[in-house]
Amino acid sequence: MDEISLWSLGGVGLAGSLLGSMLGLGGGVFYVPLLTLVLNLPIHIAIGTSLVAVIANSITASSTHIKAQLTNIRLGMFLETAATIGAIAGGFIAAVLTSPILTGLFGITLVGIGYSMVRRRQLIQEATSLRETAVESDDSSTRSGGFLAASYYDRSLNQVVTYNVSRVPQGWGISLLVGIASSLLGVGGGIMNIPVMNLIMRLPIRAAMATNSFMVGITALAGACVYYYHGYIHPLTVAPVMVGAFIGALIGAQLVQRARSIILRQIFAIVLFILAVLMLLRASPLPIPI
Amino acid sequence: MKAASSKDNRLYKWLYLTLRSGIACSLCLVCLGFILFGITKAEFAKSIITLGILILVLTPLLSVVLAMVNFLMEKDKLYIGISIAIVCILVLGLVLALV
Repeated sequence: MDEISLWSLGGVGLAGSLLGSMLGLGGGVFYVPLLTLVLNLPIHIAIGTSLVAVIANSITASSTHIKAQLTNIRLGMFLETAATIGAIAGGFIAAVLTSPILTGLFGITLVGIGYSMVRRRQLIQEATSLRETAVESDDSSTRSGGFLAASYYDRSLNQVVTYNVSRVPQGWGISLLVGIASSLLGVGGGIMNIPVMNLIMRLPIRAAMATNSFMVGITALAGACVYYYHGYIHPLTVAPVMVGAFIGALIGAQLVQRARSIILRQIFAIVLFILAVLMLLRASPLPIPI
Repeated sequence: MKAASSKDNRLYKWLYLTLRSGIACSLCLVCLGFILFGITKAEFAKSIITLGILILVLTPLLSVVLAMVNFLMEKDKLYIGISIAIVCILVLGLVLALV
């Protein structure tokens, strides 16, 4: 391996995880496009590499969230029973798909998520306001998630936030799909998991991000096993990306705790838009140099 | 000011230590591997890098195992079952990948 590829792989890891962990994502949404478009890696190898970097990113970010006790470990474990099964299935599906189909799927998924975020942005603001979380705890519709109820200390609000978890069975079913998508696209799954936990299961966005970062590493491990089995994970390609991912995640996780939720949501929405546009162009058959 | 119960404090502490030491060991080995590879270009340097990555990917599995031990100590049957299920799925995946 020459020095240029070593540094460029490390740079992809750093950039991807810095942006990713600031948004509570695994960074995979950035790794895969950068590895395929900038470094010309085959998409299957890019996804395999991304999954291992996502594990590094998740471990670093979630250790910070766990120290701050933002993570709902029980909810994360419960949803992982679905996500790990999905991830193994997704890995096998990816192995039989051709590169253009996988690339197209990556683009279509991001467009879909971007569109749903625009439509539901108002709803997120309602769901994550403190007034709403206080009302939620007395709401009878949240009883099914009583055993998953949790609380955390919100540094930016300077108080303890208590919440219940709604629609647990639906959340489990969606986690299965998120597991498949995560492994299929190498994205970790935060970009889908966080809106699901926030909008459907009614977790405060901060708890949703922390719980997601804990889950992502376990899901990505299940997916990475299948990619390794198919020969898509090369240690010497993965290692520099992983080191970059670690450094980026460490900085990103420190920043996320100091930012207010509303700013995070705005960044989250803007990044989704930019990615959706880039992926649309990339998926088109026109000779656009992206 | 912390919001979690004392039982959860133990689990949070275990997971924090596991995740931090897992990533630290992994990074040290990978960096050591790269330095040795840069100097000697030897095959064993690649093995050190691979070992570092193996430790990285095993860290989430270890965190699930520790959560399982915690739930066993709490006699929380639902979560003992849940964590055993995840450990089984992950071990199955690893056996598939490595054997």
